[in-house]
Amino acid sequence: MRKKNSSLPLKSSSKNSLLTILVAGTLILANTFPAWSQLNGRNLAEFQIGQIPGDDSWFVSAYDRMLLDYNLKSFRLGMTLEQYWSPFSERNFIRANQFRIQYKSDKWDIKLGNFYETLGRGTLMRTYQVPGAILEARSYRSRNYFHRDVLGAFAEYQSEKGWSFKFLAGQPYNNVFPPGESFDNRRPDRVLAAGADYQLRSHKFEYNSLYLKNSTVDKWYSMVNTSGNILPELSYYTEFSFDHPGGILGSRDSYALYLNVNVSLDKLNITTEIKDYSNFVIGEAVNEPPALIKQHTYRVLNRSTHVPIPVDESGWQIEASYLLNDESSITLNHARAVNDLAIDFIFSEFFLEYERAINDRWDLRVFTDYANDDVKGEEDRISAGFDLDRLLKNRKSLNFEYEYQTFTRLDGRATNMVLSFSYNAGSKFTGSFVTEYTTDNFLLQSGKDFKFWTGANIKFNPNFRNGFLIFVGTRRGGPACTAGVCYEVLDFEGLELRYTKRF
Amino acid sequence: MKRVFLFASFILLFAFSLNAQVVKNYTLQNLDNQRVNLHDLKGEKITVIDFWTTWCRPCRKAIPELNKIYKAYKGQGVQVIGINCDGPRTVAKVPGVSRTLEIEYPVLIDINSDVINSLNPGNFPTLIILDRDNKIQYFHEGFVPGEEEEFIAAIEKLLKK
Repeated sequence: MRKKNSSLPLKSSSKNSLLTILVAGTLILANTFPAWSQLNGRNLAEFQIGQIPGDDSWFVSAYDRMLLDYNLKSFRLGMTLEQYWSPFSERNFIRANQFRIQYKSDKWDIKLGNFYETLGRGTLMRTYQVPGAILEARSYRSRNYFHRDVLGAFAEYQSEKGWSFKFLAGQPYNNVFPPGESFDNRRPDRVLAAGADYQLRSHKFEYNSLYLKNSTVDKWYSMVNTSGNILPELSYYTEFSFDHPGGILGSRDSYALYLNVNVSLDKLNITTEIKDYSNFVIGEAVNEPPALIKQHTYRVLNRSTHVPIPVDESGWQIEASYLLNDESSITLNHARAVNDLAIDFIFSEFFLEYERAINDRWDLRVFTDYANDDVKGEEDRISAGFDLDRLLKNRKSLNFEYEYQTFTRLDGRATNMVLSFSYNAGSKFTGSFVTEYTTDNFLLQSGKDFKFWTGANIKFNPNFRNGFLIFVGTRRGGPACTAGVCYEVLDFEGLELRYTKRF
Repeated sequence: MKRVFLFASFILLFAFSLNAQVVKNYTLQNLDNQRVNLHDLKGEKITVIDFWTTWCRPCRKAIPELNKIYKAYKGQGVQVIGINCDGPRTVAKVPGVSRTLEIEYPVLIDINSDVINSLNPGNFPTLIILDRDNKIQYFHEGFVPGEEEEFIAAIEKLLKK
């Protein structure tokens, strides 16, 4: 059951005053000890005039996220202020969302407040923030930064003899709920974790224990992992997490197994990963086992990803890359995931990419992909495309991309296409035009046979402190994967201006 | 009106231009799976740090140019360090991609995003240049071919200081 908003409601001028005092106080601190201290931060402001599907009309909204960090020798004091304004008061909020105090020395790392920590490869615990990503859920229609942190305390000690110890206690953030929702909804889990690792030459051995408590669960978990380089050309990583339902030696009905082996043979590199997850969803937002599905940069493939279902998933991923003598490269990837959910749902993908610099001016990437995805009901999904760069004088360049995808779903054939053209002047300026086309029935209005999205982007970074991004037109939504995290992006129609400032 | 004022006040706050940020010492795993202190690797005069990921295409384009910079300046007190920021989903590919790209300078893996979160960049690659006191003297986001000349100019300028 969702609880009513109880923490820091948006109505009091006293709260605005508190934020002003916090910001002003930090600035005063920075000026008090200028010789030894520094204040730095980053602000991201985004304005939208437009609508997403479900809106009756266009409206204006503004989102802002400001990070302030004050450093004094080994100490760091920071906060994150986040706000969203729209004509709909129930969606709006202003929050001092994160506070952090950190002491960092060569041996100790101590954090209080909001922090990020991932144990192993994330089978036991995973937190993150996705740089520059703003999340907007269709259900809440508020906008918030895409991150998952822990509110609590963390301590780590590194010895000179190869040992490392860590301890943490806190409440992870379930980012399904925007900042305007109650604290209990946003942070329903309480975790306590302790662990140690030992480094022996190029091998590492690690153990972590985690205790979870929320309104329905009270449970212990363990994780053991080992990693190392057997030879310079052969490395491995193993991770096994499991629960203790009936005490330390109780029967184990939940586990997550992850294995990885890397082999390098001259110019051939092979990465193999194996997964076996059974009933291993910890709390509402504590862990996130690795997907073992390639994160594609091509749009049609990026959104066709498979999101792991740790309730029951097994499978593997193999990727081989080979560097040819002319410095071109070939990448082959095969991923397979099986979800046993009463019946088997199978995801299978074969991907091939060839990349080469044709000469000093031309650069080409071509790809083809074949997949079947039972969860999405997509059969014989075939994708192909290319990405061509033309380098001009004075660091200017042109880029042209074309991607095509077709698949069968419910006896109907669907097609997706992407066409993109961009002009770059170094990293300072990019102007691009993107158009997308689909005949996918799931995305069409009744009576329509196809749909187009067409938009233009202008990115201008006059210097590293300031950056502007303007979008105008229609933008296709759907699943998106960035920085190893997949999330849902909503369609958008209108004008968007993003301004980032570093100071 | 209050909302507009409050929102505008956050934006205006950034008129402040403050001291250069210092990069603290972090302990990270290298490609040999050994724990390494970032400051133990730093250059005598200048340290160039490239934050990259395996899934970022401009990152892969920047690396051969950083290899050239590493070879050209390593005898002049300049160190180049690659800090990989892949998360659990893609980190397994780091050793293979590093070999495919023939990276010659040290690569550290920041799987927990400790270093990158302290800098809060907007995208990858992000390149910073530190002076001997670990203060950031140059900051650059993104990469297109030819921008390595800017990096070299920044290194040369710092070497003359």
